[in-house]
Amino acid sequence: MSDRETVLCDRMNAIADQVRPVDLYDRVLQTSGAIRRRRMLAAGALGALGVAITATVVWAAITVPEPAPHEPIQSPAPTPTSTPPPPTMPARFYLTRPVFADDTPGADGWRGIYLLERGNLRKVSDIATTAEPIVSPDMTRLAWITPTGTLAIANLGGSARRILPERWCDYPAWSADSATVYAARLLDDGTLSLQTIDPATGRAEEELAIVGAGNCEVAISESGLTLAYLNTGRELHVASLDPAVQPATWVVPPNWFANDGDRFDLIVSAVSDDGRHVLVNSIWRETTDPNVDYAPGAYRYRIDMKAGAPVYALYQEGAHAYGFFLSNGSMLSRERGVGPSGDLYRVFRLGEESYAIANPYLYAPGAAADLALVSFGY
Amino acid sequence: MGETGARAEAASEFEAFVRARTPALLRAAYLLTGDRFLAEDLVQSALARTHLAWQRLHVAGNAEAYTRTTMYHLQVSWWRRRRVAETLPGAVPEIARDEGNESDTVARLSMQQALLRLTDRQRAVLVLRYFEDRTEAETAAILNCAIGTVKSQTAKALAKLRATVPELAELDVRR
Repeated sequence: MSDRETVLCDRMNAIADQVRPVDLYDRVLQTSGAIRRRRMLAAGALGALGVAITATVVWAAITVPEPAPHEPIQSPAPTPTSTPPPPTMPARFYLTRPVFADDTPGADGWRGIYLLERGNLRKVSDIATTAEPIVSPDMTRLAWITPTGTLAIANLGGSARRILPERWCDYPAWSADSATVYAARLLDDGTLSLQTIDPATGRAEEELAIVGAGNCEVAISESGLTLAYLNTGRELHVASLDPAVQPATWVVPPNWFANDGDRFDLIVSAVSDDGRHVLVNSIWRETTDPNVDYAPGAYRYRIDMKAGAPVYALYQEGAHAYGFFLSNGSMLSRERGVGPSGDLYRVFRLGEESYAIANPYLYAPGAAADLALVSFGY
Repeated sequence: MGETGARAEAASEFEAFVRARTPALLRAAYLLTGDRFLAEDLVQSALARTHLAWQRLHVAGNAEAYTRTTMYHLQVSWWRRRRVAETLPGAVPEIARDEGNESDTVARLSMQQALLRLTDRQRAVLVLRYFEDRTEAETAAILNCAIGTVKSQTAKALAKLRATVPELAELDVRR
């Protein structure tokens, strides 16, 4: 091998040395099973097609009498509609929003956007912002609040950016069909206004509500109708445009606060459509208060607004992470790790307080599509 | 040994094969894809096909060759190229890491970026020829193409590399 070929070989080995060994055995077995099932399905479909062609040929050979011209054309009899079964907790859960943004920007101030595909997180885009963008469910657009309080909407790659003047509150939310952005705006008189924005035009189309004064940190439910916020008196409020949802308030316990006021911060992370559940992150910083024996870090609480109490706490070292409530009665809570590969997702079945951990790298058995592959059984 | 015992033994052998060979396969896959997750995906897909054919392969004793060939086929197959093209970003800035030797890091990154500018087939040819040290005939057999194609793809790939990696500027095509 010549010197230059050795250089090429050495360089390739240096690149290959970057790979960390991983255990693929379980994923291989699951993929193998999926391939086998697909092949069986394809073979079955081919057989069915053959049978159908044969049947068509035979049928065509049989003379069918034409209906007399005067015979009325019969419309098909209406088929009775059956009552759908009541919704049940799925044994398998599919993550419906498989796009995530980096929690923290890189050294260049950019955040990566990752797509969960075939059980792996893959970087698909970067966007130059220090704020955390929220990705639309159809994975075509981003919405985020800039450090100056303006609301930005852009395509996934960052193009076609539209800026709405200040002052908007963290975090915006997308409607399920990705056609609307919900965001709360802090008005000059200190009140909050929940608004809908057309992401195509970047125009705030409709003002839905004005709720009580609060901090400019708001969680909006999946329906876009219910929101939770922390007011300046450290009270957690839930308000909704849905008349079935009662307003609720929960006073944050005084012992959550240390003597030095800088220690505590509360971030409202998510609220359920029915307004009953709110996910908050309490950030505990270093303190000189000798009466505080908590380790610095973030604690995540689900607040049951009906019971008026926190249900459980999860300790998370470092900064806060996010979560959201799902319409099937579950709560998805993200556990931050080292980069996107270290994240875990805890999925809580509300009411039973049980949870399962879904690793985003888990390849879902039987999943035929490329997306939405986080799967587990309770 | 009964049928159940033979099946259990085959399963055990497959597990040992996967655990033993995955690191080496991942190294080649990383060179082929330029992405750690894509590399895992590629090796996973190749090993899954090996699993389906394991009864035949482990008797013949050529499981690794089959897996590697499958891996290269998957990487250069048209449907896979199309899928990747839809999701890879145009240019992703690298976040600097403390690698100790700065010049080595620069050299590695420039080589890595140069490899990523090649087509899948050109990259596969280079990896087979210079990383796995295969002959032109072996490379042609694995990629299921003519030796002439291997030669032309190698020449084109090296020409592109020469333009971006100075140390390889006078690299000739190996016979």
